[in-house]
Formats: sequence, C-alpha cells, structure tokens
Amino acid sequence: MKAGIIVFPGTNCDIDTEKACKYFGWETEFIWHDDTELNKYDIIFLPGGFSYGDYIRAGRLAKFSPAVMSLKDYVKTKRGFLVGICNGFQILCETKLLPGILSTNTNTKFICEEVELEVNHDGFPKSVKFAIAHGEGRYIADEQTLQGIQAKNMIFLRYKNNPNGSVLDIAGLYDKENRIIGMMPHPERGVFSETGNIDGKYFFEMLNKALTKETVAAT
Amino acid sequence: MKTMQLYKALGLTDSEYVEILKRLGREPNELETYLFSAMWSEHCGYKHSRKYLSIFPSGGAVSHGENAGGVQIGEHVIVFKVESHNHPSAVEPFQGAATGIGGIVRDILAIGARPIALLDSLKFGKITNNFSKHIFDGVVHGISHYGNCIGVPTVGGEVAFDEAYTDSPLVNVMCVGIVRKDKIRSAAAEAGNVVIAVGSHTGRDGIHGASFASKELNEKSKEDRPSVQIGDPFTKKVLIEATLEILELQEVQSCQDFGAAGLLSSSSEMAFKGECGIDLHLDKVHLREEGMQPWEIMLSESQERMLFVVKQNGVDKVLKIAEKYDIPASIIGETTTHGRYRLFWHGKNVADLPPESLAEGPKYAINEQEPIYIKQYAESKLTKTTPIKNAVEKIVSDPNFASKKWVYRQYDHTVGTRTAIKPGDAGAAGIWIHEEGGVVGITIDSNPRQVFLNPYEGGRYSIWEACRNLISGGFEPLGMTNCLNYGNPEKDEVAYQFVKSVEGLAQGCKEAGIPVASGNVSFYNESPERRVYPTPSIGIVGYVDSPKKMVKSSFNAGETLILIGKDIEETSNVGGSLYQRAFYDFVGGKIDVVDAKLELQLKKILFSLRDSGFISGCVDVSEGGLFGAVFEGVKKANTGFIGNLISINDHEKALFGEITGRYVISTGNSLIVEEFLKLNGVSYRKLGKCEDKKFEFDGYSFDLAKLYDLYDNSIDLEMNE
Amino acid sequence: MKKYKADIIVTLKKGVRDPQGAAVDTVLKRTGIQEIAQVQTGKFFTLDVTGSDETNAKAKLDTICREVLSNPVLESYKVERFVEL
Repeated sequence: MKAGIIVFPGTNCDIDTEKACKYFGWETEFIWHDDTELNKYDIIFLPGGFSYGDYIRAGRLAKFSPAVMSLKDYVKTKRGFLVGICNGFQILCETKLLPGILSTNTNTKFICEEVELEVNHDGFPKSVKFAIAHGEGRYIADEQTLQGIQAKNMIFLRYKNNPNGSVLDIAGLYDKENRIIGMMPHPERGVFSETGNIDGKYFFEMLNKALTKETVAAT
Repeated sequence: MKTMQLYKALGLTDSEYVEILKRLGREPNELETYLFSAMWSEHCGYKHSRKYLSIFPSGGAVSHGENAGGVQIGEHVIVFKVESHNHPSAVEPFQGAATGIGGIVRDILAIGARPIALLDSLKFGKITNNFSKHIFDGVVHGISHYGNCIGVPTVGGEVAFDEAYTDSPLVNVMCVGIVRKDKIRSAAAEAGNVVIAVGSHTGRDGIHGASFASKELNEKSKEDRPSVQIGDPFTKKVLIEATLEILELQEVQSCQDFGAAGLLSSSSEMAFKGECGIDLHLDKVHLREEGMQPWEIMLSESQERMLFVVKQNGVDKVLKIAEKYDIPASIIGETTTHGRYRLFWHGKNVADLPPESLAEGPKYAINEQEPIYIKQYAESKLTKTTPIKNAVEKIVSDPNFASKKWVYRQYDHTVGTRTAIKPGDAGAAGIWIHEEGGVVGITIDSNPRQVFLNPYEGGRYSIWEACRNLISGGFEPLGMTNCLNYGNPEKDEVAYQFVKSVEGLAQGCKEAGIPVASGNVSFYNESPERRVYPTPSIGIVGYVDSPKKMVKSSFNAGETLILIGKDIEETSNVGGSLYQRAFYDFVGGKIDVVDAKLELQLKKILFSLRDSGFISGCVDVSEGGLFGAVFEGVKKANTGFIGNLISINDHEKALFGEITGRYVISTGNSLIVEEFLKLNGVSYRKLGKCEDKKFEFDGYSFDLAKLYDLYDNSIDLEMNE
Repeated sequence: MKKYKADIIVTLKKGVRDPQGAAVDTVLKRTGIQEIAQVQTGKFFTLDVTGSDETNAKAKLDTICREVLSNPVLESYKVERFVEL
C-alpha cells in the first residue's frame, strides 16, 4: 500500500497524517504541490492546514497548484482513494471534486474540540469521537445539490451536536463512485492512545480493508 | 553637531551619550547614534534588569544565553522561552498578539528546534469593562489566527482579569520546541563566512518597536503608527519548514532570528557572541519599500525573517531551499577577522563599531529600599463576610476561576498529534515526546497579588505554585523560563518589587533544583492612572518517562478525597487570595511562606503513590482554595462530593484561603494510602467521597447542575452578550 | 433627520505589509497569469448613516470609520460614495 500526502506551502497536518499512515504500515511519501505524478499512489491525502494561508478563502489559492490540477486525472483513472481532511475537504469543494462549499462557522470563531459523529458506513461503530479544528467548516449547498447528495447516499459523517452550523449536520462526504472522501474532522488525530482518543483508527482501517481486498483480488 | 540633538530625541540620556563617546573615542555619526539608541533601549539592552538577572541559577540548562534555553531529555533537548508582547497588544490586540507568537516561535527556531507547543499567560482588566473585553477578544483571536495557522498547538496557559491590567494588558507567550542534542545551533558566528538574510522583504514595519516597548502607554500611543506590524502566519509556517531544512545543512554555521531591533540586533549579537567581525552591505537587503535609509533597514522589525551564517560552499544550497519554498533570500555580508561591526551603503563604509559596544550596554542599579506600602498592606485586615452559599456561586462564576473553554476552544490544541493533556484537563499541559517515549509537562503560571504584597516570598511562592502544577500531574520539574512584567523601573516601588521578586524567584528555583533556561523582561507596564501588579509569569517544563505514569486531575465517583500537606489554621496567612479580591476588592494581609522542605517531601510522596498506582487523581490547591481544588477535580469527572471541608471558624478562609504546600488526592484504596502517609509522617485530612449528582459539605448542600453551569458558561455569557 | 448611504473602503496603510496580497501575487506569478500584479487587499463596507444635515452625518461617519471600521494604527479608510437617500 502506497500513500501520498500533498504538501502545500501552509499545510500543517502533513506530518500527523504521515505518522498515522506509517502506524498502519503504509509506505508513505510527501508530494510537493508542484509535482504532478500521482498515479503511483493507492491513496492520496489532501491534509489539513492553511494552504496559502487560506487567504482570500480556504482552499481558493491551493486549487491552482499543479498537483491539485492533476487530481482530476487521478480520479478519472480510478487509481485509488482521494481523501481530503479539513483544509483538504475545503480544497476538494473549491475544485468541485466534491459538491457544496465550506463557509465560516456560524459563531464566526475557530472551533477546536472533540465531537461526536454519526457514521454512515459499515464496519464503524454507530458513533465515533473525532477532533475538529477549523474556522471555516460550515458545510453549505443549494437544495438541488443536497438532493443529489442524499440520492447518492454521500453523507458519510454527521455531527450529533452541530458545532458550526453545517446544513444537514454534514461533517463529511463520501463519493463512492469516484472514491473521494472529504471531511472536516481529523481521523489522523485519533490514532495514538498516548493522546487519548483512538477512534480515528476505524477510518484508516476502513481504507486499509478496501484497498487490501483489491490488492488481493488483483494478484 | 546634529547627532547631539538626535541622541536625546532617540531616548539616550546624557550620561549614556558620554559613555558612547568614551567607548568610541569619537562622536558617533547619525546612523551609529540610531544603532546605539536601539541596542541600549530597555527592550534590547535590559539596562535596568541585567545586573539582577545574573543571580538566576543556570547550571544544568542547555544552550543558556542563546535565543532560548532548554533541558535535556535523552538524546533530545526541549527548548523553551516566554516573551511578552504587551505594548503592541494594547493598541492593536489582534495583530499585537499574533506577532507576539511569531516572535517567540522564531527564537525557538533559531536554536534549530521544531516548535511543538504554545502556551500563553494573559492578563486583562475586568471582563465587565467594555474596553478590556475588546482587548481580550482581539488577543485570543490573534493567538488563534496565528498559532492555528502555523500548526503549533496552543495547549495551555492562564487568563486572568483584574482592574490593574485595564490600561496595560499582559500578553506573554511561551513556545516549546524539540531538537536532537547534536543538532543544536548557536547564534555565535565564525569569521570567513557568508551572511544570508532569508524571509520576507524588509519594510518600514515596527521601526522603533524596541523603544516603543520601553515606554509607558498614553493616549498618544494609539497614534504610534508604524510600531505594530501585520503578522503573516502563512509565511511563518513556510519559513519554519525552510529554516529547519536549511539547518540540516552541515555548512550552516549559525542562525539568528530578526526580533527587536531587527537586523541590527541579530547581526551584532552574532558578531559579539562569535567574537568575530561582520561586514553588512545594506543595499543588498531585499526591500519592500523604496527609498529606505540605512537606519531604517537596520531597525526594521518586519516579521518572518531569519539570518544565517553559512560557509562559502553552502551558499547555493541555502538559496536553493529558499527558492523551493518561494521565499526571498539575499547575500548581505560576510563575517571577518577584523573584529569590527561595519556597515556599508553602496560600497561606502557608513558605520564602524566594536560589536561589544552595542551588545554590552549600560547596567543600572535600581532602588532596593522597601517602600512604605509593603508594611501598610501587610497590616490591613479583611473584616467583611459573605454567606457561604453565595460565596460558592460567586467563586465558581468568577472569570478568574471559571472554565476558560471560551478561550481554548478557539485554539487548535490537537494539531501535531502530541497533546497528551489538553487545556482544561489539568494544571499543566502534556506533550507526548514519542522520540523518547515519555511526556513533557508544561505550565505557565503567576501569582501577581502575592508578589505585590511580598515580592521576595511572592517570588518563591510563584515558583512553587508552578512546580505543584507539574508535580500533581506526575511530572518532575526540570527547568524554568520567565517573563517578568513590571511597571516603570525608574520608580522606587517598582524597582524594589523587581529586585526582591527576582531574588525570590532565584531562591525558589534553587530550592526546587531547577535551572533558569531563558527569560524576558517587560517594564513600563503602567499608565498615568494604573500600574500592573508585579507579574512574573513562570513557565516550567517537566517530564515523566511514560504516559502511563501521568496522574489525572479528575476525581472519580466512589473515590475518597484526601488533603495532604499543610492544613489551614485560624492563624494562617492567606493574603492575595482570589476570593478576597473577587468578593471585596481587597488585596492585603500577609502571604503564606513556602516551606521548601515540605514541598520536596510532598513531591517524593506523590511520586511514590503515583508509581504504586494507589492514587487515581491529584489537584494542587491554588486559586479558589481547598473548595476550588475539590470542585475542579470532581467537575472533570462530572461527579460530585459529600464530606467536610471546613476545619476552622472562618469558613470563607477555610474554603477559599490560599496557602502553599498542599494537594488533594483521590483514591480507591484509602486505607492503604492513609497507612502510607502515616508511615512517612505526612500530615493529611480525609475530606470525603465523590458521589454523583451531590455537592454537600459541612451541612451545606448545593445545586450541582447550577454550579456546573455557572462554571462552564460565565465567560461565554459575558463575551456573547 | 436626513439619511445617507455610504460606501467605505478600508486598506492597510502604506508601508504595512499585506500578507494576503503577497500570497495572491505569488499564485498569480506561479500560474503565469500575471508576473507582477501588486495585489492589495482591503475591506468594503456599505452602511446607512443619519444626521441633521450632511456635515453632521459626515462627522458621524468619520467616527464610525475611525473607531469601528478601521484601526488607525494599521489601516486607513476612504469614503467611496456618500449619497442622500
């Protein structure tokens, strides 16, 4: 299993994500945002942080990076999973790889805490606790888009006590057809028992299982 | 001659000017006069404090005297330092606080360490005051904006509100970093190398920032235009990565950050510490604005810049890394064997000074006579009382005691995946050092009222209170850093407060066996109306070799609570206690004197109990007194308490009085613990049991849900109204 | 009482670094859209202000701009439009 983590100027969860990937024994590389060779990876992470300082708006300036422009091709060839966490989710929405947009939290403040989430996926417990840390995490989309999301069963994570005003309590989306996952919560912060919470493991195990099955099937 | 008027305008005194003439054997030119005025300002030159700070013990600290000092843990060094950004935060709270973080992070970076945690000690006027509210909101927002963006978690700190800080809020930021011992860099340069400036373009930002910080605030300060800068956390984050990559190069010899007095301070210290000369070509510095003069380039405090001294064969490598990160860099000079500090402007030599004349400014002796207020205040007595039911509600909703969730919820405290103890979970923060297997405990704390009433004993009190924060979590205190915030040191009262509290702090550190690794002084925190309490913010770093050995600060249902150490008596001195200030606006009386022998004994006992696994929780007794410790412990486990807390006739003093040398522990094995305490001759008192949904002591019973609600929401309500 | 509509633009003072502008500049340069763009950012406000006459309303607006919309330590403001409603 080979994971690639795209690093922009201003990314700050790259090392955390690497730490988590390595914990699961994945071969892990950083991809500087100027690189465009993405097809060697089974999974690509757009990690959290403040790419280009989140100036203008979160994710806006990062979408012009060569690596991001190559993502469309990566998705089209269905090479592997594309996972955007926090700032990564914002970038996925800015580039329209996922529908909708993330806007400023209703209380206008940055929010960092552990939140309870309802997970819509097999192999997860009904409820998990992940860390969130964002100022622009309020998911919004127009009525038509929301209908599409629901029709495709794309809502992956829902807040139990909505902290930021997201519509339909949406915390994360999963486009199964294109294998794109975007979420505001940080599963990579929930892997090591030394830091308290280990619910994030479920997420990495889910990816592990999906991809290992394929590798076995392919051989 | 023009420079004669200039030196006065720049804040140099007549005697300082005479000293300059003596050292140079000639008159300084205009540029040189600017250089002296900045380097000899209080902010850079520590002229009123240097003489006294030399008594701090530093044995055992690593890299002491550099940008930041540290303590060794295995193969690594934990580097830490606190710095103030009080004056800029008073005029522009958001940017002032943000750039404060920027500054302290650069200090850690200059050692070659990766910053892994931030903490802050913040003081504001009363939260009900609209102006203070505005400053509080802006400062927290600024810290959140900057700290979150650079990906360094803000894991703890303290926030306090007192009228004394209305005009001069205090913003002290502590940064902690980690570096392999063999990778530590020094600021000292060697001759024959190339000087490279990396980072943002130099503009006219913060020119005179250093002298600005050494000035009392008045109405005119608001118009002090260029002294506050815009922080750019994005460039800082990129600069952190670029700097750490550059410092991996063998060819890089020394590193300095651009702090107060910018290029001047960083380059002259490099030359002074390295005992070499330096030639700088100011026209080679990359500039943001046109028409900048040499003195402006030298004094600019533009953010996000670093200075490197590199061997000839490493220059290209450094420039290449800068290019990768899209960061401007320029070769601006070289280190030399001639031992002079020389500046050039388009080839012309415009300044030529011995480096030590800049770096070693004057040292002043200040007043050490006890001012009359000390005795007057010590003799004043509190006579008012409050019914206990009201008092308990008052204390839990007081913003100094109540939950600071409104603050730390805005800080990213989990980025970095190292946070073992989160803000609000204990008196100290915990950062997992996976490189060594253990956890570093960090605290920043202060006891301004106690220091005000008795500077010397207040100094010792502050050290031990910070130590207790760590010890209660199972951490062995290892090293101290400080930020000393006072009023105008040229005034006798302030001078005395400073000198005596520094003596007390030094003594406390010696007793606790911890070196002072680094420090910072901020004077002139006063306005014509108000002066801050003498406020030494004490940062202490400790360690425990396994996460499993950390002791929680929550008490669980069913467990027995035991007070160990000093018990309060009718005659105990509780001067400076929060309840007296909060209920009656009273600050007076004598403060409790630390018994260092007892403190060391309690540490040993607690660590034995920790290792045997017989205690499950521990809280050190500080603000809010015995009641405060019990309440905080049960609140964290969302349980309650039934038992006895009051042992003397003065019920308020029994519950809320603050004395040193005591902890509340919780245990499920009370018989064994009691036996152990008896055996070791430790005085203790069994308080009662944790029980869900109840809060009762000595015949009083409380609505627990209401108390929790007041504690959780009082700051929130105040800020959202 | 007369009512006026005002548009105000708040920008950083000359000489104060504008990190947002600099970041946009970098991206424009990287994408090759525009080599040197000198992007400057600011804030735009539109609001209603009342007053006994124009002078009175303008004085009020000035206070709002100075005390609330900008911080004179770092920012300057410009009234772009001021019309009676």
